[in-house]
Amino acid sequence: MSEFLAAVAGHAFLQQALLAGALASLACGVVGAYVVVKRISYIAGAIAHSVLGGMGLARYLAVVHGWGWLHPLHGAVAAALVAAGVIGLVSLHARQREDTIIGAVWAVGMATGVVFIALTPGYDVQLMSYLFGNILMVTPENLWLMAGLDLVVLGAALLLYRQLLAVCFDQEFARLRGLPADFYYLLLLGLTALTVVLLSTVVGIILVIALLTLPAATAANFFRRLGPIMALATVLCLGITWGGLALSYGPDLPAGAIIVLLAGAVYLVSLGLGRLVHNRG
Amino acid sequence: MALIDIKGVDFAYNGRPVLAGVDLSVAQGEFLALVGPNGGGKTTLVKLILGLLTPQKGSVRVFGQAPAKVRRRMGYLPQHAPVDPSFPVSALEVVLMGLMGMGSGLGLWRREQKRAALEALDKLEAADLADRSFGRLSGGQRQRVLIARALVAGPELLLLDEPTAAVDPRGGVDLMNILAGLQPKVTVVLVTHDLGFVSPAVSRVACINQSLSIHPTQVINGSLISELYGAPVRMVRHDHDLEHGGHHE
Repeated sequence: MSEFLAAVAGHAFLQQALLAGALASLACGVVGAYVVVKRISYIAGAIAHSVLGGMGLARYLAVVHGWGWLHPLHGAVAAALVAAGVIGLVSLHARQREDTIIGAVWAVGMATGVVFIALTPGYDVQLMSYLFGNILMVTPENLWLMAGLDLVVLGAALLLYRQLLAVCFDQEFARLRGLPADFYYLLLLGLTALTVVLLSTVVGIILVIALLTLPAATAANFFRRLGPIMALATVLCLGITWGGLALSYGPDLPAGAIIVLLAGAVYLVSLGLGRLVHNRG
Repeated sequence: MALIDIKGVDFAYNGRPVLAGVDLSVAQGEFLALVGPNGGGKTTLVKLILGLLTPQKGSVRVFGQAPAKVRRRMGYLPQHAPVDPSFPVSALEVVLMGLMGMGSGLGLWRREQKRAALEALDKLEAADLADRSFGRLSGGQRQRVLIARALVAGPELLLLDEPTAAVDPRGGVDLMNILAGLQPKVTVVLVTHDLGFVSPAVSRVACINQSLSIHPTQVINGSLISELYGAPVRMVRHDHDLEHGGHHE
C-alpha cells in the first residue's frame, strides 16, 4: 500500500486515475440507487454493452476518416443515449416484450462495435480496454468530459429527486397526478446511460453493471430511505474504486476486474452485516 | 348540478362489452358504493370517471367537465397499489407523492407539504406510521397510507377501488367510519365486491354487472344479491359496529 501511495505521489497518470474514480463514483452512487430501486439493472446492462458500437464507430471515424477530434468516449455518450431512448420508447409505447428488446439492443450494439473495430487498422488492445476498462489510460481531456457528465447527471438526479422517486415508486399514480411520468422515465434512462459511460472509463463496459448496482445494493442493506442509500453508495463506490486500484497496482493485475471483485466482496459482507441491523423500521 | 354525470355509457375492451347503457348521477356530498361481481365493470367505471378510459358511447362529465381536465380535483386509490416491500420509502413520502404536480418545483419537500401529509395521515388515524417504511406495513396500514395519499391534495371527489380488499373485518369497519367522517365535504365513490363492508355511512348502493341499477341501502337483501351475482349468496351480518345502529335490514 505504501508502495502505491509513493507511486501516486510520483505519477500523474495515477492521480488522474484516482480523480476519474472519484468523478465516476459521484454519479454511480446517486444513479445506481435509482437503478436498483426501479429494478432496471438489465436495461443498464444493455445500454452498457451497446456503448461498444458507439466507441467502435467513433474510433473508426477518427482513424479511417481522419476525424481526429472524435474520441471513443464521444461515441460512447451518443450510443448510450440512443440505446436508452430505444429501450425507453419501446417499453413505453410498443407492444413488444421488453426483455426481448433489451437483449436485442445489448447484442446489436456490441456487434456494431466489433465490426467497426475490425474495419479499423491498429491494435486489438483498444478492444480490450473498451471491454474491461483501463482507468490508468484516462487523460486530462477525459477528466473534463467526465466532470461535465457528472454535472449533468447529478444536477438532474438531485434537483428532480421527488419526481424521479415518485415515478420509480408508482409510475401510474405519478401520471394521474399530472406528472409527465413518461418523460421522467426516459430522463432516468438517459441519466443511467451517461452514468454507464462514466463508469465504463473505470471498469469497462462489460463490468459496468456490477459497479453501478453493487454499491447501491450494499447501501440498501443498511438504509431504508433513498437519500441515505445514495450517500452511502457514493462513498462505497469511491472506496471500492480507489481500493481496487491500490490492490491491483502492486501485483500488476487488471484494475477494472479487481474493482468489481472488491465490489462483489463488499456486497457479500453487507448481506451478513445487514441482517444484524435488519430489524430497524 | 350533479358532481358526476354519466349518461348512456357503453364500454367494451376489444369488442368484449363490459358496460352497457350505464346512467349514473352522483350529487355533491354523497357516499356511493359500487358493488358487483369481479369482472362486472366496477373498476372500468371508476377509470371512466377518472378519464383514464373513454366510453365508446355516451358521456361522462365530472364537475360538469371532461374527466381528464378535472383529474387533479379527484383523489384515487387504485385497486392494485405498488407492493415492492423493499422499496426504500417512508409512509410520509408516499403520502407526499399525492402532492406531485401541484407546483412541485425542484429539490426536496417543503415544510408545509410535510405538514399537509401528516394531517392527511392523521385523518386516517395513521399519523404514527409516518416514519415507518411503507413496504413493511401490514395490508390495512398500507391502504390507510394510500388513502391519505389520495386525500392529501384536498380532493372534492374521492374514488376508492377496493379499499377493504387487504383489510381484516375490524379494520374495514374502522376504515368505513373514517371515510364517513369526510362527509359532506368530500364526495366518496367506493368500489367493493364485499357487501359486508357496505356500512350505514353509505348513502346509496349502485349494483353493477354490465348494466347498473341503484338501490337505497335499506333494500339490500338476499334476493337482490343473488340477482346481482347470479347465484344464491350467503349473507353474513357484520355487527361489529352496533353503536352506529348495525346493519340496515
